[in-house]
Amino acid sequence: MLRKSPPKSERLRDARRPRALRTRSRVAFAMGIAVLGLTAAASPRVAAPGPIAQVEVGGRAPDASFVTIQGTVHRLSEFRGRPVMLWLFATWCDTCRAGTAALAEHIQQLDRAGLHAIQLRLYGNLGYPGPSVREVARTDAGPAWSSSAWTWGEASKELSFTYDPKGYVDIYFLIDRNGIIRAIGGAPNATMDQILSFVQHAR
Amino acid sequence: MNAGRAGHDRIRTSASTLVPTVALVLRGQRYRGLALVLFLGILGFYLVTLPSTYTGGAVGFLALRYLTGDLAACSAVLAALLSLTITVNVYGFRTSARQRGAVLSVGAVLASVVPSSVCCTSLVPSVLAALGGSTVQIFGLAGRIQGGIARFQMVSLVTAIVLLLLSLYLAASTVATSCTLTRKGGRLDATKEPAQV
Repeated sequence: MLRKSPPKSERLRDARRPRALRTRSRVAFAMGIAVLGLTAAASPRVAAPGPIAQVEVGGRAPDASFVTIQGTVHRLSEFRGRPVMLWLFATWCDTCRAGTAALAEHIQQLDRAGLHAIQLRLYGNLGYPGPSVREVARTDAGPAWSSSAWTWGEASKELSFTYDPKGYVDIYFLIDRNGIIRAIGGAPNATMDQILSFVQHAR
Repeated sequence: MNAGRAGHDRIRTSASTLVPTVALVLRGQRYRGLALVLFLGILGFYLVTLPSTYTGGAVGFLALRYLTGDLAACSAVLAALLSLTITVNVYGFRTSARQRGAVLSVGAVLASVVPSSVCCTSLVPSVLAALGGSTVQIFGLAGRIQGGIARFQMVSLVTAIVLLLLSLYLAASTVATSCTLTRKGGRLDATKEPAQV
């Protein structure tokens, strides 16, 4: 028995379907990108607590506050007069934890050169849960975590937004005795040469 | 009926033909050499790439220092599967078989290297900033994305292994159906047969 062929309109519809699907997919994708962009642009921009200073190499390091793991509040300006490594990180970041271990290996050498390391967890841990700063310090830095040349704490929202407006998960600033930013980097375990070179020239 | 094929069995495509098919392909010296070269090259690639999750995305000898047992094992398995998949596909190409599983192979490679390349680097925040995200939005979203990637990196690697297994199976089944695998005197032989009408 012969099978009845589908009507012409149905055959034409089936023939056009793949192209129509492709067109619809492209339109949907473009609309999604447009919505994403418009949403991002229209969303209220939360004002940072204070004007966001320009943080760049050669510029003055803006002053901001942070809380140490002992609970005391400090400002970056208190460390003027000695070279400082201000390191902002997230505790869930594997690179940051490897960098912490690498810094621990060199902390005595850096201390002798006069450097003070300030390692602060970014505001809100950059939106993802993770271990506490104290836990990271003890686990990854070992006995070196309690070195007098190493301060651990939580960055304030002001400090986080000022120094890291783009939300990089691992970023450090090498600041000289006069409060001038001499270098910006990340992953201390991969860029230790830059840090050692900085302390050598900062003497 | 092919009653005259006494002593020969027609092996049907199934998961159990994967090993015999791969064994058949590797019987050729050129294909063994190809598989070995591919394995060594891909293994080297994975050994310096997978640990880059601990170096902020920096690949190379520095990353080798952070190579763990898990990552080394995953590197070896991924390299073996990918090299075999490519070799079997080359064999199939030379026997005019249709290649299958290419998309799966590409997906597997991406699933294996993307986490180590994306996590803890500036890529995600830069993309969000380029899309017009504000600092608050970036601070909330970048961490969630990268934190999730960091947390599920091993899941991603296992997924890549599964995809490669599937890709290898597809490639092997294509070779097995384009050739007839027969058992002759305890050995497998491949013979090209015209398509059955």
